[in-house]
Amino acid sequence: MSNMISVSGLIKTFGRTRALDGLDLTVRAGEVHGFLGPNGAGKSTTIRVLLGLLRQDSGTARLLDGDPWRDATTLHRRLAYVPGDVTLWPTLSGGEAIDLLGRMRGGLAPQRRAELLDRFELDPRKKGRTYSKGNRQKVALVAALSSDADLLILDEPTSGLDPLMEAVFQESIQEERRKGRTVLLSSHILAEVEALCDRVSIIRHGRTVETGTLTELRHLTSTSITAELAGPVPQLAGSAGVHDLWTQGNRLRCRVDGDALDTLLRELVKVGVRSLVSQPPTLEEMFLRHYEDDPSGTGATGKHAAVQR
Amino acid sequence: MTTLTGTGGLIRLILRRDRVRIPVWFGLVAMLVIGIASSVAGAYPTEEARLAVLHTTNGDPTQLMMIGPIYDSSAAGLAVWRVRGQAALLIALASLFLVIRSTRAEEEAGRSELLGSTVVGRHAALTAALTVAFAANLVTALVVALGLMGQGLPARGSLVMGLSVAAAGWVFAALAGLTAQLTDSSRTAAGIAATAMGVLYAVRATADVEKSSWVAWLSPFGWTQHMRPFAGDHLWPLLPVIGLISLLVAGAYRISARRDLGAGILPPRLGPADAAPGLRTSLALAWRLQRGTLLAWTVAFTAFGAGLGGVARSAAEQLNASEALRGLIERMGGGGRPADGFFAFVIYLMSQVITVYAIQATLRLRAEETSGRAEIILTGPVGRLRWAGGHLAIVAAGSGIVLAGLGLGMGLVHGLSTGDLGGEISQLLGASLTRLPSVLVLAAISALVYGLLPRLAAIIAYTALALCLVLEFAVELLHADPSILKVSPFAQTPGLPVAELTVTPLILLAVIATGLTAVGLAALHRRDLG
Ligand SMILES: Nc1ncnc2c1ncn2[C@@H]1O[C@H](COP(=O)(O)OP(=O)(O)OP(=O)(O)O)[C@@H](O)[C@H]1O
Ligand SMILES: [Mg+2]
Repeated sequence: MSNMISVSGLIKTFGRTRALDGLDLTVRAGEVHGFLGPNGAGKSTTIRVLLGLLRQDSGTARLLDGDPWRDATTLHRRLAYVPGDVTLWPTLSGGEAIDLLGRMRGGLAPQRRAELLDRFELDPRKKGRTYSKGNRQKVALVAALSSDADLLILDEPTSGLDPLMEAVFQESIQEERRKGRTVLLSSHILAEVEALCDRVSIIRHGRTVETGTLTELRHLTSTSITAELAGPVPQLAGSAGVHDLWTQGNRLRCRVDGDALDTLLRELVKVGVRSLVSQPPTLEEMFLRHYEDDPSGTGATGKHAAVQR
Repeated sequence: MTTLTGTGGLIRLILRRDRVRIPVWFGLVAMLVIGIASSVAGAYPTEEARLAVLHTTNGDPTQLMMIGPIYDSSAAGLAVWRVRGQAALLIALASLFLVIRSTRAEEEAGRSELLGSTVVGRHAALTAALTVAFAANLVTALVVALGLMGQGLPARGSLVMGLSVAAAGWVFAALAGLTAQLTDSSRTAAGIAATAMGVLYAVRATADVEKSSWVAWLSPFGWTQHMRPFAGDHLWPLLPVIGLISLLVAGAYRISARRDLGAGILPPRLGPADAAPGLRTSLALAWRLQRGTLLAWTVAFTAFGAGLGGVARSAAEQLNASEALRGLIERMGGGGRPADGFFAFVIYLMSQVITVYAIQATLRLRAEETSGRAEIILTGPVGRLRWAGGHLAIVAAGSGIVLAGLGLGMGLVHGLSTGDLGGEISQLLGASLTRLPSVLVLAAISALVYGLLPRLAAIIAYTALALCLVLEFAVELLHADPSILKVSPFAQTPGLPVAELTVTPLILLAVIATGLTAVGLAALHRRDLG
């Protein structure tokens, strides 16, 4: 089995809202897969279909070689889920909730549990209603990480964690990866995605807009170029792949798409280059471009400029 | 005062959020009073007929206990008596839930935190909730007064009636304002207030059965009753009402000023670091979540049963004098001892109250689902049927336990007074338990709508129960054909210990309950969750 999750053409509507509109997603065994997209893009909905909580209108979803709706109960033995907004039973202590969830899956290693509690600095004796948001999240994380599930499905698992705990989380996920577990990680925290994910899928309006490794995605995004030439700047406006061009005498600034970089540099070298600064896109720029409504980049102006600065 | 900043905004928020609930709950009370008043005149057109009702009622301990005595034989006097109990309890519950929902429940959900960080003073939520509740009760009082005057009743009596209903609402709004400050859980806060309400109503009931006027003064329900609309029209019982409200409100503000947001004054306790060995299945979790509520209901109804067992003997003596009651007993299935007639009637009534437990416990499924806690369980290797089935098994067993508590309490105390302990216990326990199938039919209706129409589950389930109660009114007051009672599962069960035990209707009800539950579970199995 090489794919832990394979979803294609998934459609799910709620009344008149089309939450998923032909979504595709493939998660390979053993990888940490980032699942990104702006608010309301359909990440949680996809995850809830995969968990058998929602039934898709059409399209196919396979999870661990089973049907997430029909085989829900058996598949759930092999996965663990952490929701983005954890609610616990007000009268149960965190430790009780962790034990219950672990035992329902057939028991959990007490050592591993103790180690995780210690690492996440979680007091298991507090009652569900007295935990802060971050601590509720930790309860769910400890329960998931101390299970021996093959697949972890995490929906914004760190949205309430402080930076220290964020680091602990990243360290724990790296460990899981080394153990060969597969992780589907929905997140808005780009540093976390960069540190953890082997591949990412970016979705928007219920559709997958990009999928690949971060390097591949970077290539699809533009690099910013600042150069001082030996002579006047040649006519570049309108050249394919060149955006946001600014020129003043011998100097120019612009952004250039990955596949147009070579052509642009040849043009500049013809005139002679005195100095050149090339900046690969930052992660933020890369994602913003995919998140925005016009992903082609040609119409992008104000917001990009703000981010570049 | 800066602690009150933002109260106006919060009032608008409550009115917007509860724009359906408030008119429905409070409107229901007003409709009940006005509607019954207009139908009583038709049901008992002659002074003679009304005097007969007055005499039988005032000599009938079950009626004295449920509602209290009739003070005046006019049509208005009869109408006031007929609705007094239900109207007071209903408006008290409406006010109580309104206040808890707008204070502690908001805080628990963390929404107050969101507001508290903006420009909202620390007493604003409490003030807004109390203001809305007090105003809703006042409006209800005025609507009732106008509605009664519209039927040509005297203005003063109509107003006193409206105020006596609203007074019950005011007291319990204030009490809820206080209990909301005490604990950090809205369920507990509502539970404390509702328990206090039950106890205070029982105090009033005892006072009326024992004809003890000083006991009556221990309960606000006694005070409002002594306003005697159309039978003296007293306003002075509003003085103790106002006094109590002032005390409760002052207490609420004092605590509100001291405690932290989100906390109560009863400190949160630490729980165990590890789960007990038994907590390993979704059924064990369901039991853990439901056992507190079940215990409270069982204790309350065992105690209530014991109280009923205690008055049964004096009730029986008075019953000999009551012709109407003998008629009722005969309607329920024949002769027997007078005490049995009393028990048959109260068991019939109490089984409908215990149904509230069964519905509430069934709707726990919905609460688990909307809070997202069901999701945590169902994304483990637990099927939906097993999860829901666990809760429903507890509902079925729990309803039986509460009914058994009622029968046991009655049998124990009554047995001690007649000397036949074993005989009374087994008879009354049996009589209570035969009511289980009818209770479970209502629970099954709740399970059905939870599966099919989860958003409307609570409304439909409680409406179904209310319909069973309304049918009773319709038969009694509108002279509707008693055969319409046949749709009520409560009327289908033989009225033990008076009637003979017939097993067929019980089996039929059990089959219906099973069928409805099965359809509900099948629907749950197929639908989206969350
Ligand atoms: N139960 C529901 N009923 C109606 N609409 C829903 C429901 N669940 C989700 N939606 C809608 O579906 C769309 C996708 O929501 P979803 O929660 O999947 O987004 P998301 O990508 O997880 O967003 P976020 O980053 O904010 O968590 C949204 O427009 C949302 O309003
Ligand atoms: Mg989401």
